[in-house]
Formats: sequence, C-alpha cells, structure tokens
Amino acid sequence: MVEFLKAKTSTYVNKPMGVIDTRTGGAAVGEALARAGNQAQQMFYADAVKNQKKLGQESVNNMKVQARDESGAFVYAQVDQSLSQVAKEVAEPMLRQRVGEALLVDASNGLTKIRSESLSAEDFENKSKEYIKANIANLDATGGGEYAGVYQSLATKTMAQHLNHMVLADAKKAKRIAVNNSLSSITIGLEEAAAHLERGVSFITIGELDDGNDELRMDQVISGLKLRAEQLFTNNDIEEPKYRAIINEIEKTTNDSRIRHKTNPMSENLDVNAITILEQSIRTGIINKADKETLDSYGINQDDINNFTKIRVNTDYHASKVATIRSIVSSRVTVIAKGNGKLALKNKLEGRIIHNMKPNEQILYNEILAEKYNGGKEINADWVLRNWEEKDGFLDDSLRGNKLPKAFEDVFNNAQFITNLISTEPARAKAMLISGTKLFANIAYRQSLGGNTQNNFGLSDTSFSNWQRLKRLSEQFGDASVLESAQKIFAPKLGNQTLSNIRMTNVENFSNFPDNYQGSTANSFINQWLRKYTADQGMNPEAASYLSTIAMHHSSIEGTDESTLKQILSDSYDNMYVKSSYIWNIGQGTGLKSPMLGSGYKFKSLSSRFAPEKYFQGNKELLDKFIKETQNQLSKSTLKTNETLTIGENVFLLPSRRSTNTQGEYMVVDSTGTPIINKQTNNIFQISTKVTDGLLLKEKRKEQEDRWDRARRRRLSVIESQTDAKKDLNDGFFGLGKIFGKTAF
Amino acid sequence: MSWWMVAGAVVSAYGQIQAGKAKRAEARARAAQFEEQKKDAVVQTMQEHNIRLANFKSMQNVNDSIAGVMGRDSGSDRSLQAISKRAETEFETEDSRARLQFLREQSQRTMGAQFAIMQGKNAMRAAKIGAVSSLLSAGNSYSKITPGTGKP
Repeated sequence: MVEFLKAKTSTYVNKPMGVIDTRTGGAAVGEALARAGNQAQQMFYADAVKNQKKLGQESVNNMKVQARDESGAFVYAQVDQSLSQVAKEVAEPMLRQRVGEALLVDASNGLTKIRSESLSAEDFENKSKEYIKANIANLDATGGGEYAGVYQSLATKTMAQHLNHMVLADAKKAKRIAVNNSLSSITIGLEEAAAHLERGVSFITIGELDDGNDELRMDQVISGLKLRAEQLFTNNDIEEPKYRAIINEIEKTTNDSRIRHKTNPMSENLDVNAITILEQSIRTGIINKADKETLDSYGINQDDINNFTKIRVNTDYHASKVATIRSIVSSRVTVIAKGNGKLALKNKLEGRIIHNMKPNEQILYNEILAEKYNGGKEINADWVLRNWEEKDGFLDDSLRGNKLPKAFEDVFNNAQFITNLISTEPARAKAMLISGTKLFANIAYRQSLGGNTQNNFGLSDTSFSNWQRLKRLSEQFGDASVLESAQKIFAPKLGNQTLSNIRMTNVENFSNFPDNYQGSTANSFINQWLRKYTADQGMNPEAASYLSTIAMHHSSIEGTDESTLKQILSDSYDNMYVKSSYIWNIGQGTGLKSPMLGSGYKFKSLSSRFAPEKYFQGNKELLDKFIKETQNQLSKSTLKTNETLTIGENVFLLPSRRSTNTQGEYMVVDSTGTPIINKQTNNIFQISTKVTDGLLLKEKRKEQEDRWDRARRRRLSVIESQTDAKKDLNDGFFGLGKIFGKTAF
Repeated sequence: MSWWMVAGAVVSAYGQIQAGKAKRAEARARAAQFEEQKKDAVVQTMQEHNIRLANFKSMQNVNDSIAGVMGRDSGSDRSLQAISKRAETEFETEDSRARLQFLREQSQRTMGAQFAIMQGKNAMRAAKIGAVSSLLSAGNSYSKITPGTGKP
C-alpha cells in the first residue's frame, strides 16, 4: 500500500494568562488608619464623658437647693442650661433627688408644725391632708408638677409616721392621765386622812357599806389608799420604786399626823419643855422616869412612842419632825418675847429716856417708828430720806436714843447705796444727798444740844467723818455741788486704788525713782520729787504745796511721763506766780542773791501769787493807775531818812492774808519789811487793788455802751437799707437798675 | 480633649476614604486583567480553529491522494464521499462547539471585568459613606460633651 507522509500540523496555541491578585495592601493601610482614628476618638470621647459626668455632679453639689423662697413660695432648682448633654444627664436625676429631699424636709417641717398645733391624731390627720393637698395643687400651679408625685409620696409617708406616733402618744397620754388621776386621788385621800388623824379622828362616815356599816376606821381608810397604790403597781402603771415611795409617803404622813396630834396641845400651851422631852423620848425610844409625868399630862405613854417608831426605824426622822414643831413653838415664844421687848422699849421712849441702846433695840426702834408713821410697814433708808421732813414729830421721835434707829443708821453707814445711786440715778441721788445732808445737820445739831454726842450717834468713824465733810462742803458751796462733793467723798476704794496704781506705774519711769522704793503708794515720792523740782526751778517755796495737788492729779492719768508733768507744773506755776517789781521779799534791797548761803532758793526768781502785775495782766493802764494811786498816798509821807517814798525802789507791797486769787490787799513796807506809817493818820499804809474797781467799772460801762452804739448803728443801717429798697422798687422799671446796682454779686 | 476627639474622627474618615480608593484601584486592575484575558482568548480560539481547519484539509488531501492512487473517483465514490462527509461533519461539530465555548468564556470574562469595576465603585462609595458616618457620629458625640449644646 502506498502512503504519503506529510509534516505534522502545529497544535500549540496561546492561552489566556488568568487573573492575578490585585490586593496591594493599600486598603488595609486605609482601614488601619480608620481604626486608629476611631479608637482615638472613642478614647477621647470616653475621657470627655467622664469629665462631663463629674462636672454635672459638681454643678448639682454646688447648688443651693431649697423647697421654698423667702416669701414661702415653692422654688424649683434648674440644671445649669450651659452644661453639656452628658453633664445634664447626670445632673438632672441628682437634682431631682435633692429637690425631692428638700421637699421632704419642707413637708416634714410643715407637718411637725401642724402636729404641734393639733389637739388629737384625728385633728392632725385632717389638717395634714389639707396641707398636702394644698401643696400639691401649689406645685402643679407653680410649674413643679414633676415633683407633685414625689411630694405626695414623701409627705404622705411622713404624715403616716407622725400619725402613728400621735396615736401611740395619745394612748400613752390617756393612760398617763388615768394613772395621774389615781395618784392624785391617793394624795387627796392621804391629805384628808392626815388631817383627820391630826385632829384625832378615829372613824369617818362615808354612807352605808356592804356590811351595813356606814363608818370606816382610819386604819381601813389608810389600807384602802395602800391597796389602790398596789393595784397601780400590779397593772404595771407604776414601777416598783414609785410604789414603794407612795407606801412610804402614806405611812410617813399618817405617822407625822399622829405625832402632830399628840404635840398639838403642847404647841397650844407653848410648852417647849414638853416638846423637847417628847423629841428626846422618840430619839432614844424610851421615856425617862423623870419625864414620864410631863408626858402623862399630855396623854402620851411608852406605847405611843413605840407606835411612832415602829413605822420607820430611823427615829431621828420622827425626832426631827418634833424638833421642827419645837422650833416653830420656840419662834412663837420668841416673837411674843420680842413683842414684850418692843413694848418695853416703846415705854422707855415715851418716857423720853436716853438709854444705852443695843443693836437689836435699834431694829425694834425702827419697827416702833414704822407702826406710828408708816402704818406698820417697814421703814428703810430710802423712806427716811423722803419723809423725815414731812412727818410731824418723826424726827423728834427718832432721836430719843443715844443711837439712831436702824433705817437712819443705814442712811449714813451705807456708802455703797449712795455711790450706786449717783451712777445710776444722779437726779434722785442728788435729792437724797441734799435730804441726807440736811438730816445729818439736824441730827448733829439736836444731839449736840442734848449732850448726846458720844460714839458719833452710833455711826462708824468713817461714815461720821464723811457726812461731816459733806455737810461742810455743802454749807460752803451750796446744794448744787452736793453731788460732786459726794462723788469725791464716797468714791469707791477701788477707784482710789486704781488711781494709785496708775500713779505708781507712771512714777516708776521717772529718772530718779529709787530701785528700792518701799512706799505702797507713789505719794511720798511725788512730794519729794516736787520739792526738788520746785527748788531746782527757783520757784517760790510755798508753791510746792499748791503744785502738789496738780502733780497728784496729773500723775494719776495714764501715760503721764516726767517731762509732761514738769511742763504742766511749770505752766501752772507761771499762771499762779508772777514776778513783781513791787512786791516785797526778804532779799529786797539787800543785794543778796539767796536767802542763805547754799540755799536752793533764789531771791531773783521769787515770784508772788499776789503781784499787782498778775491782777492787771494785759491792762497796763489799770496797773499804772493802781501804782499812781499808791504813789499819791505815799507822797503824804517820807522815810525816816527823809527820802521820798517811791514804790518799787525804796518801798514795797507786802500782801496781807486777805489777798485772794482775784484781789490783792497790801501793806506798804520799806526794804527791811517794816511798815510805813501814814503820818497823817498815824496808821500803817494799806492799799488794795480795789482802788481800780471804779475805773474798771467805768471801762466796762464804756465797752458796753460801745457795743450798744454799734448795735444801734447796725439796726439803723438795716432800716435805711429797707426803706431805700422800697423806694427803688416804687421808682418803676428803671428803678430795678438801682436795686441790681446795690446788689453785690 | 474634645478637639483630639474630632481629630481622631477626621483621621478615621480619611483612613476609610483611602481604603476605598485602594479597593477601587484593585478592582480596576482586576477589570483590566479580564480585558486582557478576553483578547488572549480570541487569539487562542482563532489558533485552535486554524489547527482544526488545517487537520481537516490535510485529511481531505490525503484521502484524495489515496483515492487517486487507488483509482477511485473521490467525487463519485460513495465510500470516499461518506468518509469525507463524516470528517466534514465532525470538523463542523467541533468547531461550532469550540466557538460556543469561546463565546461563553468571553461573556464570563466581560462580566468579571464589569463586576470588578462595580466592586471598585462600591468600595469607594462605601468608604465615603463610612467616612461621613464617622464624622457624623463624632459630631454627635462632640455635641453631647460640649457645654451649651444640650436642649433646654
């Protein structure tokens, strides 16, 4: 077989490459970034939420939440609207809770008030319901509807609590009243029984009983009282101690009544002796043989004593009850004796006998005066000061003893009463002091006349001295100064002590205050210091005594130091003492500079309190007039040496004792101090600053007339001005110009 | 603190957008590969058709040659005609089947490319929605913690 071979045909073909994965990871990167951003956002959001929640809590915590405002209307606290939503979501429930609490407090307060005003639980319930209803309506009406439910729930719960308490309290109260009534009836029954026993009653009639009797023995009555107490105890209405106390009280009281029944006759007889025997017998439990007869006379025997002591073992108790009776009887006896004493004293006083009065008689004396002049009411110091002048014969009757009645003595001895009155009621104190001073003067005068001056009428030395000083000051300066004087005299010791302390503190800082100063007050140091100071300053020696008062006063002002005090003293001295060319002193004309060798005082500085230059200070014309007048009189005489007398050169003025702070009186002397004799009258020359009085008067008159003249001129000027003004106005329109022209702008 | 939170939200949104963009790029790349495959398949199919056609032609030519040798008329010889006919039928059957297969596969590749494009678009859209959602969520959170923004 023939066959043709041919090349094999190509069977290879190109095929598609398939799809490769195109994920490059870009998407994963983007997703990772998104996740990271998201996580960061969540994280920061969580933090922010936490912060906002805290903020919400704080905002509520810081809020003042109250149920009502000052006017009593409900107020509703609102969450701060500027807060975030998260903060608000936290704050709002918290705030609602707090408002709810505030409303609870409000309801509680209101209901408590209602409870206090309610008479019963029912009354409270009715009032409370009305109250809650009204408040819920109020909440709804005022925008607090969201709280109405909470309020109703809380208020109702509180009301129920109150109601429970009240119901229980009412029940307790009812029981307490019943118990108290029972206790009260026991007390009343006991008092009645005690009264019967004290009168010696053995039976009481109470109407027919079951057994046909209509009488009860007293021991049955007492047993009945005890039984009622026992019933209260059995019912648990009272506790054991109370029950015991009631039983004891019943026994004690009835026993006391029996004792009193036995002692009554003794009391009526004022037989203190018999009561004492009874007391002793009860205390020992046995009646002594010697005392048997006494007690027999009152129907008391050993059985009675045994009965008294059987109830209570403590015999001292029963004895003390008798002792009390004895004390009362004894007082009555004393009163009677006192009445007798008063009567005796009255008789003595009627007889006008000045006797040696004792302190208790001063009290009786007071009572006698009270009966006579004050209707029996007690008289005291105040009454005396108001009435001693008004009641006729009162003062005469009051001064019949060598000592004063008690009320009088109190007026003068009680300085504290006076000083207190000065500080609290000055006007009344003044009136009383004036009355007291007059009373003291009267007493002093009358008692002196009667020769009864011993022992200062019974007043203490201090009181007597003080009132005498006040009397004298009052006589000298008049009643107007009585208050001031009394303040000084009766100043409390504490005030003086305080001043003394201040003075001591001040002077301790003085330059020459001794370290070892022994004095209790600064007075002696100040006087020494003052003497040295006045000598150092060349002051008049007598000035030390005048300046002492000033130094004492100013050194007792807190903070006064040495230099201040010196300045004050120096100024005071300059005001008091003036250097004079005319006043004589011992060194005048001798040429000596000092009165004696080594003395601290200097002639040159011897100023005088009575220098004419002082009286005429600032008015040289008057001084010249005075000197001229003096010189005129001196021209009538000459010295023995035939020298012409010239004031201030060879003759001087010697102040007399009559010189005062306002007026000088002088004797004319030569340089040796020898008086100059007026040859015409053959008497010493005397001259007074009064010689200028006429001139001074004239001067004053002139000053007065000048003042009047000035006033007159001013008045005329005003009248003239008014007249001109009227005239100018009447001159018509153009006249106004004149007015304005006269007006000073 | 709040501003850090906002920054976190912005970063998250930016990340989502970037992820979307990356997914869209990946999808486009896949679509391009499907287009390339379509072109490759056209070439492959054409080459296989040519191979089949060449095989058929070659068989016919061999048979014609053999017939000539054997003295038989290939145009009237019924056996030869039947063989030729048979070969032609099989060729046509196979080629039509191959063409159908090609068309189906091309259609699938076209769909794959379209799906990839659509996936890319959707990924981008989802990323944008996610980013906006993140920002809105952050804004909402921010409003909750910012003072003065709450309702009265």
